Amino acid sequence: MPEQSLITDQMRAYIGKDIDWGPPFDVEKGAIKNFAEAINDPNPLFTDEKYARSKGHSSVVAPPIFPTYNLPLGAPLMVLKFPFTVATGVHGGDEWELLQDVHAGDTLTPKGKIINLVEREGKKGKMLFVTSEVTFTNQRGEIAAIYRPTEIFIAAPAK
Amino acid sequence: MKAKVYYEDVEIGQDIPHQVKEKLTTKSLVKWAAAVRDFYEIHYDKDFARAAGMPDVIAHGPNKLALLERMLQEWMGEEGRLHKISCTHKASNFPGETLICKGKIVKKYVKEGRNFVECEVSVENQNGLVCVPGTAVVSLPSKK
Repeated sequence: MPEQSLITDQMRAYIGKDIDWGPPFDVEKGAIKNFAEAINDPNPLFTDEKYARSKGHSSVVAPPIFPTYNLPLGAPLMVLKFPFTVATGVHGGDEWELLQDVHAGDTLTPKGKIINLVEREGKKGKMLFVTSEVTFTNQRGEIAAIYRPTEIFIAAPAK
Repeated sequence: MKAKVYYEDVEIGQDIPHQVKEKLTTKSLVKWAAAVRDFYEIHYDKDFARAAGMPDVIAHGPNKLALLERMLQEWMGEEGRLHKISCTHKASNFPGETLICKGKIVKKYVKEGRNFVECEVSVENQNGLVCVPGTAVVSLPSKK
């Protein structure tokens, strides 16, 4: 039997189609503080409201990749029907375009799609690379950031 | 106000004169998981990580990217701005390892009135293994 591809027509049909990346969310001061703390970042723009305002900001600033807050990176799994069993899923890469500052008090709406499916052979066996594109639009209708994450799914050996 | 770094200060080929070093601990992984609400068990449940073929729980990729951003912003100061950053997660990192974020200037150009600088960035572990190679585009203020 010829080796089966990891990418089926059902999966290919999803390239370019909008999928669910979660509901709009409010950017909260406490969440920004937790994010800054998690990377030991002492930047007062992230935590000191008075300081941030003195620099012309409407409130504390969110660190650049803050929009990843609560983002379901497994969203493609909700729609793609894999013809294989996943042995492991790992996060393969990140790409961000940062277009606008994000502040506490903003509301971000994530919207996105799968943009690429690639199959490769690796040390651990066959791998599927799923790249998505998620745009985060703020309450003023401006695109604040565009995120292109790649998830890698390693196929369990066929039995 | 005087900026920390000006466009005229950077030269192609120059290493960024600032690094960020952070030791990974199970606690630091859990803090990141809670901060971004990413509760994939591979990052805090050792049994789950082992069943997935890992020797221990692994650090989140975006956590390492966020450290790269911290390095760039600390180097540039508030007058500098990060526009783009991308990276590949080549190797997993585990509690006990120390991550070192560094960068190098590879290109500079003026476009639409902005002074852009392209950098190669990387996260290495304490043994010099490049775990996360990447690139970043920033803009810096000019002295002119």
